[in-house]
Amino acid sequence: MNTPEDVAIAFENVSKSFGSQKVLDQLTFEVQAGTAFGILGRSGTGKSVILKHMIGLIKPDQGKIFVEGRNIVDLDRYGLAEVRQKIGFLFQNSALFDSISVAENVAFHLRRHKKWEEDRIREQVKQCLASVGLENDGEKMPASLSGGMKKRAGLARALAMDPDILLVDEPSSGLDPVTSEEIDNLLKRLKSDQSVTLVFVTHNIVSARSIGDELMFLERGKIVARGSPDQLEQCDHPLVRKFMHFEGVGN
Amino acid sequence: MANGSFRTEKQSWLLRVVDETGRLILDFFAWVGGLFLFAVKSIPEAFRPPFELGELTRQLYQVGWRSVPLIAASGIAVGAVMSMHTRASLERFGAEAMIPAGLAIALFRETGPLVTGLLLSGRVGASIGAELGAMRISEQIDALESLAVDSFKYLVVTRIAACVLALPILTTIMNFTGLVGGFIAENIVSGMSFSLYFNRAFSALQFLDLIPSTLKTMVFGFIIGSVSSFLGYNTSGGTEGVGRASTQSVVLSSILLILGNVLLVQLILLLFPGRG
Repeated sequence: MNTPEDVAIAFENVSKSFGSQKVLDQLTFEVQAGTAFGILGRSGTGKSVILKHMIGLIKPDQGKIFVEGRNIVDLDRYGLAEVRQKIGFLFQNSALFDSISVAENVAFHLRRHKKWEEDRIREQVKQCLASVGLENDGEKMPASLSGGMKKRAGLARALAMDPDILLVDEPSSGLDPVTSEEIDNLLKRLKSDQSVTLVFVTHNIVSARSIGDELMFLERGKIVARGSPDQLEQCDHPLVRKFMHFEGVGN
Repeated sequence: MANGSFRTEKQSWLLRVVDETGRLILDFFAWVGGLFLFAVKSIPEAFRPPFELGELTRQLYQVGWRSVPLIAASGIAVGAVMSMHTRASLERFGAEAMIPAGLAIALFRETGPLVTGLLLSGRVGASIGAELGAMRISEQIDALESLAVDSFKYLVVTRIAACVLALPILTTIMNFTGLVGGFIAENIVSGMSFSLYFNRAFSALQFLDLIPSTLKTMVFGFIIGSVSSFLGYNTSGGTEGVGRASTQSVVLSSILLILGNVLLVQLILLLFPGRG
């Protein structure tokens, strides 16, 4: 039996439609604190929409979303800002602010939310960049970075506030297998070293198996399978079997 | 039977036209309402902390300081051209001595504010529309929100405030460089001295000529800032959407600025008779 403290994020009957298209349909699930939770499914099944709900970027049409016990659907902007300070978000395309340097990107919210001396902020930025292997690239502008470096810089920015929860949208999309593996290893290290709750969206079943403690398969806004990677290997659902088999062969 | 079927087809075609027209009208009013609420929301937000002074300063530099060369060069050209035209008309009546005063009144009351507003809507409106549009489609606005930063305050309010604050200053620059342009043209043709020219120009001007028409440019700034921010902030449709937001920002803010000017001149004439 899980106590509320064990649950980092909980969805209760969450539904969302865009126009006539129902993207999430009565979704109910929990993410245990300190675990890595992977969301899988075909394109357009609402995986990224779930992540954006978790940080309040999208409001559900109905249902409740609890982050560390607080229903974020009913929060005003101040309450939402408090919750967001505990969450790091790595966007699919990194979404770095392109008018400022990588180091300034990482320092951006530290300067606003932490009442730290400039030296301490610089030290934190340095540590975050070093943790993703970009210690010598802080002065570069985002436009001059490769795809993998942008992902790592985005990750450094997401980690700057020492979040309790890290949301990662497609960590390996558009990356070569070597860089993709580097990012996977980085996320695994973060989970074990900093005991953050990691929620990630991916198409890559190898990444999902490697990082995830628990995986959830989505199809047309509904959960079709959920469990540990080993449990999903045994799943009878045709889509899950096809997905895992195809990706397994592909890799 | 055939006649009845024709009538039914015609009726259904008419219904479709009415339905489509009604939908377009409703969409238009929804859009106008959205723009109005967006612009009005920025006013209380501007007075609520945090004040985002760093970003406001950056925007003042972008909107104000970086527009100075354009405004100054345009002012000189506009002043010179107006002086040449005025001379051609006044020469017939032997009233060349009135050129500096006429030019000053025309510039300070109407031409300076309007030309500055239109130039800014081109330079700044396009830039704000494109910048915010690109930030929207590359998820940078979502990223700001995810970092617990109020994107509306940080991006929109600062840009509108920068336009509101910069426009009167830029208009003053336009007015004075316009007079300098007029002086250069006049000096070449008649050899009028600098002191005589400016003496005559300012003798016709009163403080009340300057204040209402310069302050109305704050409204121009509000129009440019809010229209272009609204279009950029709500961009959709990828890079094509960014281009559309940029173009529409210029077109719409220019039209609203010209229409708004009519109302503002009426208001100024009402409040300060004879000083539109």
